[in-house]
Amino acid sequence: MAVTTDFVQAQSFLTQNETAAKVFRFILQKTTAPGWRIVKELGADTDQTEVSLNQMRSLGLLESDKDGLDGFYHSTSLGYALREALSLY
Amino acid sequence: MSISSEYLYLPGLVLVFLIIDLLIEVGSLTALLSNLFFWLYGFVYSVAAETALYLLGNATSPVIASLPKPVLILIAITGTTTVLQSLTFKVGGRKVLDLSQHLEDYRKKVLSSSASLATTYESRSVLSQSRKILKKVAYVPGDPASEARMKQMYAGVMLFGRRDPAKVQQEIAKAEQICSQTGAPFGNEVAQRIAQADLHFRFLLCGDNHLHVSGHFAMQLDGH
Repeated sequence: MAVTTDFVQAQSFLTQNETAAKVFRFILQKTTAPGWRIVKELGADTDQTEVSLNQMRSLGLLESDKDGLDGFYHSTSLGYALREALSLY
Repeated sequence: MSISSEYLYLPGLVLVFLIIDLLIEVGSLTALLSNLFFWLYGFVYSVAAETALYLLGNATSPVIASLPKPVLILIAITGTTTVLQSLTFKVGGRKVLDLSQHLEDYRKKVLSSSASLATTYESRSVLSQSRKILKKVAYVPGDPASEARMKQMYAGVMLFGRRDPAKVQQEIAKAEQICSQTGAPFGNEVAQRIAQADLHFRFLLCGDNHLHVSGHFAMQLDGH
């Protein structure tokens, strides 16, 4: 994937936001995950996780079928490109 | 004109290679195999590999053409992958042709659309699991005892780590509010959330005598 503004913004966001990076890595590992499972398995704060998920969705890193923690989240093409660039395996 | 057998099973080997390659990233074989983009990707790869095999067997030196068929097939698949992953043609520093980039973008599309399909399958599993939960606890919509039991189960699943019981209580209140607005049974909402948080629902499998609800939370439920 070509280095676009979206890519740079998303990369910068993930490198600066530890919670989001943790959530993003979890979703990549599981391929898809509901918000509540992310919260439970990571032992994360519900509010922080919800904010991170919304931010990643608005940056185009994730897609979901519903809003908030009730939604199921998976990575977009941009997310997979970023995984490769940041070696998030 | 007869076609050699290696041309017939080469697409199968190409598909096996692509499944291994993509499964490492996407993790769901069902999602991958039900994805149309994956089959188109496989088709393009197979055509390129068949061409490579033909060139190796007919248009190269007799030394290469006389190599054992399995070796030629291996060279065709790895050669195709190498070429497709790095085919860029530059003139004056400008990329005139960048097939590798297009192919890489398409590969990401295969991964994300497979993940989207995996999401559909996962949400179906959660729905099915939530039905099992309701059946197992013999939930009766509107019955106070059933509703209280669902609240206890929710707490048992959601009071993990150092979560504040008051926060879990708020979540229950919010779920009740949503149900009163939508008219959906409270138990269904809770069962779905429980299945989302813990698909295999180890909590339920522990049996009815193992509802680990903290005293503080139980008190809050009683007072609710």
